[in-house]
Amino acid sequence: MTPALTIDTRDGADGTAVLHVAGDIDLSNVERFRQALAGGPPGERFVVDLTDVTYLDSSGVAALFGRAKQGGLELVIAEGCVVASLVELAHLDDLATIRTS
Amino acid sequence: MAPGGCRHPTGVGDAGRYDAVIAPDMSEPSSRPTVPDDTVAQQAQAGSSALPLFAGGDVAAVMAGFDWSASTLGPPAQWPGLLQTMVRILLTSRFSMWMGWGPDLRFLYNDAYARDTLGAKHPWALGRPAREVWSEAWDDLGPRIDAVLRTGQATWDEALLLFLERSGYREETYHTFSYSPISDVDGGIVGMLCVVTEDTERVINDRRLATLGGLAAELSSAQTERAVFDAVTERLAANRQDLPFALTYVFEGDGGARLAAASGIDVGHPAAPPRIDVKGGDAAWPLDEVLRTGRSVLLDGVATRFGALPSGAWEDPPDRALLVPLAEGGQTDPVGVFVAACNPYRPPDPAYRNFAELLAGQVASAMASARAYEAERQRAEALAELDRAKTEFFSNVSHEFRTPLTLILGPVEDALADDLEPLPDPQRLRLRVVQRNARRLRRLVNDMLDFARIEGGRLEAETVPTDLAALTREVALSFAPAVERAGLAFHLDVEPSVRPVAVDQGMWEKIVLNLLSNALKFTLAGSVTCRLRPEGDTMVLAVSDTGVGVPADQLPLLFQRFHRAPRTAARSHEGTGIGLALVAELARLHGGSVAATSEPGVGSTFTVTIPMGTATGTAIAGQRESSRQAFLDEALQWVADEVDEADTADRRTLAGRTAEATVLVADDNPDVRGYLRRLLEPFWRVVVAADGAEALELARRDPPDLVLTDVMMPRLDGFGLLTGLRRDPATATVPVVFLSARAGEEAAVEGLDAGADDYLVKPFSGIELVARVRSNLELAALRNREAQWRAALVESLQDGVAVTDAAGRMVEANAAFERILGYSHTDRYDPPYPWFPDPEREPAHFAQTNGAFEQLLAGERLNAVLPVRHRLGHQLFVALSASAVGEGDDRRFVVALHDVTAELAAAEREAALAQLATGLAEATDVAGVRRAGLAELRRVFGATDAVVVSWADDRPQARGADGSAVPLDGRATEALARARDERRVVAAAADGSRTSVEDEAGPVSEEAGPVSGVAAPLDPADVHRALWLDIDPPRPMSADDRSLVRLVANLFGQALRRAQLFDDLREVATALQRSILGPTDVPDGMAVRYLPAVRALEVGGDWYDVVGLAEGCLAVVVGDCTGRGLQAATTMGQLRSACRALLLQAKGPADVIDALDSFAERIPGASCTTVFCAVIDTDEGTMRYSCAGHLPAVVLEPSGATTLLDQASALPLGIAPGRSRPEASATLAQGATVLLYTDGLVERRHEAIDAGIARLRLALGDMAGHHPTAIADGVLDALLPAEGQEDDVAVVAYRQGTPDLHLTAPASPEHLGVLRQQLRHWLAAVGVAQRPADELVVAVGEACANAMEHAYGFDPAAEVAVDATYRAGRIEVRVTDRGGWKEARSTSDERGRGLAIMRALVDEVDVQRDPGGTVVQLRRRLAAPDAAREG
Repeated sequence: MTPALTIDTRDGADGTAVLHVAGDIDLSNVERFRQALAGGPPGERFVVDLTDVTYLDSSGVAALFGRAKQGGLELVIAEGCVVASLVELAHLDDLATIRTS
Repeated sequence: MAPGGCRHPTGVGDAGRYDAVIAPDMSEPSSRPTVPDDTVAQQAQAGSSALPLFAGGDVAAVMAGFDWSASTLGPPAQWPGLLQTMVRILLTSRFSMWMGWGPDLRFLYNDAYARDTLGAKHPWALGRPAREVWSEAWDDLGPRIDAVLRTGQATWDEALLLFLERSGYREETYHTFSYSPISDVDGGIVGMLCVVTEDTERVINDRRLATLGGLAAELSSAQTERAVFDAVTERLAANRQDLPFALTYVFEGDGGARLAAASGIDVGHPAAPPRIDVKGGDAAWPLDEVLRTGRSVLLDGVATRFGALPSGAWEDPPDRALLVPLAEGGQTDPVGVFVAACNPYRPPDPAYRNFAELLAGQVASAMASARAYEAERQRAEALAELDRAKTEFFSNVSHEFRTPLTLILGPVEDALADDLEPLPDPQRLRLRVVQRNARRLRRLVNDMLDFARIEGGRLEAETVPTDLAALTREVALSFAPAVERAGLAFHLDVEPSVRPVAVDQGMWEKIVLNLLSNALKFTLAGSVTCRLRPEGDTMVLAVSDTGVGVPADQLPLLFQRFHRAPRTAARSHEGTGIGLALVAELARLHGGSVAATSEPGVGSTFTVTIPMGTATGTAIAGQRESSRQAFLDEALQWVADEVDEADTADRRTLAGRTAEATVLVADDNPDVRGYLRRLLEPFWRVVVAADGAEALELARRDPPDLVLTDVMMPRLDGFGLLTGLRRDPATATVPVVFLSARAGEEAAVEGLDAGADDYLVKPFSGIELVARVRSNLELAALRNREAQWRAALVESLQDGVAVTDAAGRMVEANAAFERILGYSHTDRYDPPYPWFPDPEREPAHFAQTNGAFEQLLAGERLNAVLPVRHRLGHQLFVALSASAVGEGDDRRFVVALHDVTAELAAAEREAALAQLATGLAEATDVAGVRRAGLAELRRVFGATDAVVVSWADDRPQARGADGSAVPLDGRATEALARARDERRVVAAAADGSRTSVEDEAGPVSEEAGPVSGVAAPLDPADVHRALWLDIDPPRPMSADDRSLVRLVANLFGQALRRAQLFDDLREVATALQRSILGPTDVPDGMAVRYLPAVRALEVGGDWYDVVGLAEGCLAVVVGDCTGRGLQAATTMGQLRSACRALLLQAKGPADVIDALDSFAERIPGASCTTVFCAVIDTDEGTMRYSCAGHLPAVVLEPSGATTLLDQASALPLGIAPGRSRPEASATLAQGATVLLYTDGLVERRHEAIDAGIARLRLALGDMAGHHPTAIADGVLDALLPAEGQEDDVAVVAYRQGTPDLHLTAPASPEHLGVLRQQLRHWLAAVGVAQRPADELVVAVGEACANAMEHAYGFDPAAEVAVDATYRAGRIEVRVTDRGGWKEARSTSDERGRGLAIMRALVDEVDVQRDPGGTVVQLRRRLAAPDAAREG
């Protein structure tokens, strides 16, 4: 079965909170993803860990863009996976900090 | 029943169907007697409507075409229902079966029986009476069948030997079979059924393996060629079935061959001449051909060649023989030829040849070992012979001198002693010179003789218990005149030893005299000192001088023979230079040593140390010729021209006295003591004591031969002395003579009562005293002789002897007892004895030994091998026999014990050796031999580690049992290098920090100390490998252990070499097989796998092929040649090439197999090959196939259902050429997979092949839609045993195209996940790699999301369709919706991003939009690495 989307907040290595997202993100659940992204105050550092995201479509990319425009977004992505290609394709790295895990 | 079978009831191999028919009719015939016959008929009829009567394979086809009306069975339509049912069971079963029907048992059978047992008798046998079909075996079978028919009881025979003529000759076969009656509804027996399995191969293989294993075990201990050939003769004679007779011819240098071993045939028989002229034209056996080619030769017509031949275990004599070269691995020139007469009832197939070649290999390598041993032994003997000859020469020459010397000395001494006609003084003086020099010459000759004896090991110290102090004093005093005459001070400082010292008195004399004479010779002024002191268990003699001294660099040379000091100040320069060397040798003979210290100009000290030791002779042993006079004469010559005659004569008297006894005189009056001494000293050695106590102490320290004692003395009187002497066993028998001032009978009686031997009353005459002492000494000698003889006898026994009293207290024991157990034999012990096992730590052993002794004391005889402990702690096993003597308190137990520890250990080692040989014989590859061998070596020698070492660039590399590298330390490296270079076993002895290396030929003995490791060359013929055993903690290693190491290392080396040979052969054959096996580069959508057998000795004969044909056709073939090894591999190559050529000529499968049939006739070993050949039209999805005795291919439908392709089955190749081959066709649905395989995949021992096929179908059922690569790997995983397959396996999987994907989903986002998952699954089945699959999923996901959102606005009633195809390396996906495009629903930004994503991830995006809906087409070409999951 397609992995369900789970979103939770964890403590990162440096003590800041990290929004940990796992599973498939598509039209059926993108709204939940968007709301979770809205959780961080605009402009402040906001870390989203996408390492365990198994699928991401353009609506998900759009949600990331929406948050990225507010500044402070930092994405953690598994190197070489399709999510990394999508993020690169969308030039999200212009607006957000991208880290590979 | 396998589920795979249940799902496909139309499958012909599906036995589940018959269960329904058999159950009511057959399994309980007697319980349903009322079922009318027509019911059976109806059921049979019902069966036949679904299944023709003659369904199945080849036999069914023949039966269908058979003219039954001519047989007594009549037309099949009229056969009884029961017969029809039985025939159906028969024909469709894969078990080998036959049945007899009717009174004369008409013969009916199935494919398996025709193939396995009938052979050439098929189809002749069909419908004939059973008696006629098996006329040759009817003597065995007839009575069994009669019994079945008569009693209705089934028979069971396991591995019954039957001689069958099914292959054109009388064949030795073994069958396990059961005959059961066939009863009709009335219970009447109307026929019989036989289910049979053939065991021929197993029985024969077991028999041959037993012979090989037995021979290997026997050869492992054969050290000479004679032993090798004896073992070969004996072992091969035990297998008269496979070897009716066998001969081993060994080439000799002169072009002849000698018959070295003959089994089953008499030497001298025309076929077994003792010698064959190899080049001779009329040689009995064509050995020259074997010699020339170096290959085995199969000789036909042996019977015609020789006439009558022994027939071994058989009735008929052999007509064929295999001539196999005896060549060791790596050797090209055979050393002989092994002739194996062939079993006339077995074909001379590769297995037979292999058997003969393995035997020959064993014989050859055993011969090589034996020859290496022989060479070594001869070398050692030659050296010994040389040494012996040298020694002989020396002793002969010396001996030759002695006779003339004696004839010179005799007359000279006569002349000097002649008082009747005395010589005039001038002549006397001249003759004295002659006498002195002749004596000196005689001494030199004697020294030389001693040396010769020492060299030859023939001079042994004949040691007797000696008062060394007295002897040394005497000898030194005899030399004193010479020292004094030289003006030197002579100090004699001799301390008595506490107990007698075991020395050879003559030798000791020589030691002392040589040292003194040496000291005198090199000392011009000052003194000579002779000291003797006990030091611990040794006696130390030191002779010091104040002479010229010896330079330090000369010291080590002093004791070398013929070494003479460079010209220095000395009294004489004459000398042979053997004096000190002789001293060293004599000391060594006593187990002692000699040393020298010196300071030039100050003096030298020579020290001789000898152990007190245990005497080998007895005190009554005769005296050697004394050399004192000769020494003295010589030394006196140095110091004066003239010798004082009187003095010399005096000394001579003194010297001659030493042979006499010692008399201990005890008297408190010094005057009396002096008088007695003067009286007795001319005759005996006299020791004096001032009172009884001192006398007793002296007597205990050195028992005298007689005690002469005063009665009245202070401290201890004569009676007290007497009691004390009698109480001590050492002095109990010494005669005691009393001297008393008290006169009268009473005093005499009192003394004699107390146990004195004689009595003298003062005053007494000197003559009377001497006479009394003499007669008492003689009486005592007489009395003691018997006791001494008994004691000597007991002492001389190699077995330990101990005597205990009635309570078990040990009262006597001999030296051997002490040697064995380490406990002093003079001490007294009570049971439980200290040498019993420790009751705490080894209670079982203690109980055993203690129990045995308790029973002995209770009166039972004891005769057992018992565990005991040596005083030093190590365990011993002694064979102990004991018996009781006497009665009551006087009862004594005499116990004899013999150390059997070594024998037991040897027996244990023998067993270990046999086990090792067996283990090695079972291992077939180098890794296996190493594993088995090293593990066993560790066990046998209790080694911490055992490794094989090989040298590369002179650096040793060690490998352990698991093949991993093991580091070696310097000690091991050094020992190994010596073992390699000197070709012998080298033990590394570790003592403390120092590591010394000693070898088996060197001075190492069992007592030489613990050994921490042993290196041994592996094989006389292999200089690059050796064995290392690490022993921690170090322990002593006996010579036996060492020779065992050598033996085992050799055995191990041979096994390694043999295994290496096998490995090489296997590697060649596997490489050959791989090179001709078939392509690994196969079209997309196919997978091929070949796995060689894991444990088998050789490669198998499986093959596969994939051939691209014209017009989209593809041929797929799998086959299986019988046999193994190179032969099978080459046969397989020829068949594969032929098959490929035939396929390329556009022949159909049946035609190809047809042609192969006749081809197989001409290739040796090709007959009985099975082949499955299919031609697939990949465009149409159809296939035609034909099967020659092979297992049916399986088709896996996309649904998971499986079908067997068994519609065109016929006999294997070359069985019945000329018969036309069946062909069938099948349709392959898109996505269906065909799996071809060989029997190794499904065949398991003790299991019907149908069960294996059912298992395969079950496994396949779960793999529907998988990629062929995944399917091929999946079935290998699922079916092959985890420990590795016993047979080789070939598998070919072909998939018809790729299944297309058709998905629809409601236009609602929550269905996107499901769509993605199904798409992923399909992409995996197509074989798309992970990354491109991920990208395709994202692109298609975008298209679907677009369709749902923009076309329908998420209307769940509307549908989105996804269709995907994979053609020619390209994936094409169409996403279709039927909705209108609603632009306004999203920002163009987002939709644009979706499109951009699609375009970035696939090669081509095509959007066609019209009022009816939108179609988005995505295409992506898969690069080779993307699609390739095949390697």
